[in-house]
Amino acid sequence: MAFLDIKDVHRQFGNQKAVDGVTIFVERGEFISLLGPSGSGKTTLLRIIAGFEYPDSGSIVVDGEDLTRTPPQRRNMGMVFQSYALFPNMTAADNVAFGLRTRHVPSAQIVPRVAELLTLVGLSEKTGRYPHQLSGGEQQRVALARALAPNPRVLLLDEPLSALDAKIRVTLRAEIRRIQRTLGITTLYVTHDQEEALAMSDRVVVFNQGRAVQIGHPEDIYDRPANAFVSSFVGSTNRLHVQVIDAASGTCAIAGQTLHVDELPAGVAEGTLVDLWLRPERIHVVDPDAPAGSNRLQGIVEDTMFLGASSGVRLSIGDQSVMVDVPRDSNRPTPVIGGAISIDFSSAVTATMGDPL
Amino acid sequence: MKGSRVWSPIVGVVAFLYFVVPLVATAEFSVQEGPSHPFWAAYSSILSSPQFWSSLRLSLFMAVSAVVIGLVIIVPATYWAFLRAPRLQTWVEFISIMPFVVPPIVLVLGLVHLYGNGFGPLSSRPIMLMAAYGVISMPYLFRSVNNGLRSMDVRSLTEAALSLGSSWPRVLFQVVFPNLRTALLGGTFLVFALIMGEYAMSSMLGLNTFGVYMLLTGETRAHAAAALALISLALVWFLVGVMQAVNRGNVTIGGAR
Ligand SMILES: Nc1ncnc2c1ncn2[C@@H]1O[C@H](COP(=O)(O)OP(=O)(O)O)[C@@H](O)[C@H]1O
Ligand SMILES: [Mg+2]
Repeated sequence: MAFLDIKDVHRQFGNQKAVDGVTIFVERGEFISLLGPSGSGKTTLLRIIAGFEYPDSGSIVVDGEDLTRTPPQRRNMGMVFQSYALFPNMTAADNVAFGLRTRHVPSAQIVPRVAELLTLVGLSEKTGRYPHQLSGGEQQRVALARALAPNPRVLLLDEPLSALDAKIRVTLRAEIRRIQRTLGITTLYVTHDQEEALAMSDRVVVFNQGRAVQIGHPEDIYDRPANAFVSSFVGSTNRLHVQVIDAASGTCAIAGQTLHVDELPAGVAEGTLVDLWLRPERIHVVDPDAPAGSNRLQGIVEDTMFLGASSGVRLSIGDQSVMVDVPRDSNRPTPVIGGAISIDFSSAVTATMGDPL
Repeated sequence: MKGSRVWSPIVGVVAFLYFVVPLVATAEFSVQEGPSHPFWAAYSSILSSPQFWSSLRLSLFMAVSAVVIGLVIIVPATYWAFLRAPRLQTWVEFISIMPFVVPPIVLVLGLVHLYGNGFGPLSSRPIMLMAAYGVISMPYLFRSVNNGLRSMDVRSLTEAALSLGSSWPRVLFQVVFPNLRTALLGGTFLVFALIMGEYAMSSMLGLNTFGVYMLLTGETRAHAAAALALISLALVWFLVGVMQAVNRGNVTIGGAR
């Protein structure tokens, strides 16, 4: 049994299955992201953990204590909202003190605790400000301090950075992670931003249509996506439609060229259509005369794009398009639109059952 | 663009005349009771009349009671409906405008018919009037409270407070009410204005409220009626001033804490 057990949780609105049988075991001190597109049930699950919503079935257990039907007031969980939800009638310090006052902490202890937390989030100078006198990023820092003040057992954040500028988002997410590590607090972080989830988390739970479709370390999610949804949602990816020629040896064909796949989906036979998922940065443009690596395909350059550190090249293989990242290197000729191009990639590639074209 | 620059002063002047001329005329009329009277005669006769003061007291008391009833019943009910039954919202709105649809006469007759006898203190006429005022003030309070709730993201605030361990009364008194203050003051002001001028219900119940006093004065003493109209206008301005002072005052109290 882990520290926070989310066991087979179901929640339905009308006939919309918002959360459809989710099980996650969260270790003490772990930072877990719930990643998924809008409407995939992340918020609903978080609200069930916080107690604002009750599950139709399943349970929420924290440290051996079943909280499934406990009202939110008695769960001792800290919550941070996308809209900050600071009390507009209270100063930053009073906002942070709120959760201590509700627990009847003596005033003599409240003052230093509030100061400690506002210092932790870098706002020791602005304790007397009202929310409307603070920037969005500062408001969210206050909200974080407020959630942490009563020493919650679990910290829940629902897209806390979505309303902020890109720059502030990046600095604040590093800071949230630093604070989380300092305090060692068990944290669930909801986001639809895959970069955020991969950058911050110990583990990522990928959501789709109310289900947790993959749970794993960021590297696993990125390198070994469990299915087509994960690989297209996390990171950018190419989908290559290929036909199996020999299932035993993993030989497949695309536009008259052959390639090898280490691991084909179970039960494929000759002639089956399979999807290969290739990250642009895992594909290398090579000299046509160079010795072949694992897989070598020939194509025609359709378009090139300047991306800063690298160039993006779109090439066609038969009637399919592939995006490749080419590092900018003055020693190598830039691909020319309409010219021939050769690419190399590993046979350790994710393959899933393909939809018919 | 050009057109509006030409027209706006004209519109301003017309509006000014439209609002100010009647006031000036009323004021002029109120000081012309006749050659044998000093110009303040109408005012002094009203301000020295015991009926004026007793009707004013009664109406103020009624207005305060209606607001208290509203705060105790309507505000929590609106909040609850907003939070827990968003799907009932249309029904709540429908019920809240019922007092506009039901004529006051019908409302009072219904009250008298139902509660007129045998309900102990509930059957007393002032209590019945108080209840009727509570009902007719409902749309005004509901509207302003509902708008206030809408503008403050009350669901997230409530959930934030609950997850911080707050009890429901604490949520209401420390989070919801303070942030509804401006909306509540607006609604309260409308209720005051409504009840200070209300005539039909109080006269049906035979109670001499301010509205009844104004009407009787108007029927018998023309100059005094004009003076009374200006006095009641001054009263309204005074109330607006007090409410704004209270509103500002609370902000600074919040700041000092
Ligand atoms: N209170 C509710 N009533 C009806 N449907 C809801 C409610 N809350 C969420 N849903 C539905 O449940 C699904 C999941 O929503 P949500 O958990 O908010 O997704 P996410 O946070 O991943 O965007 C959505 O289709 C949404 O419309
Ligand atoms: Mg959401």
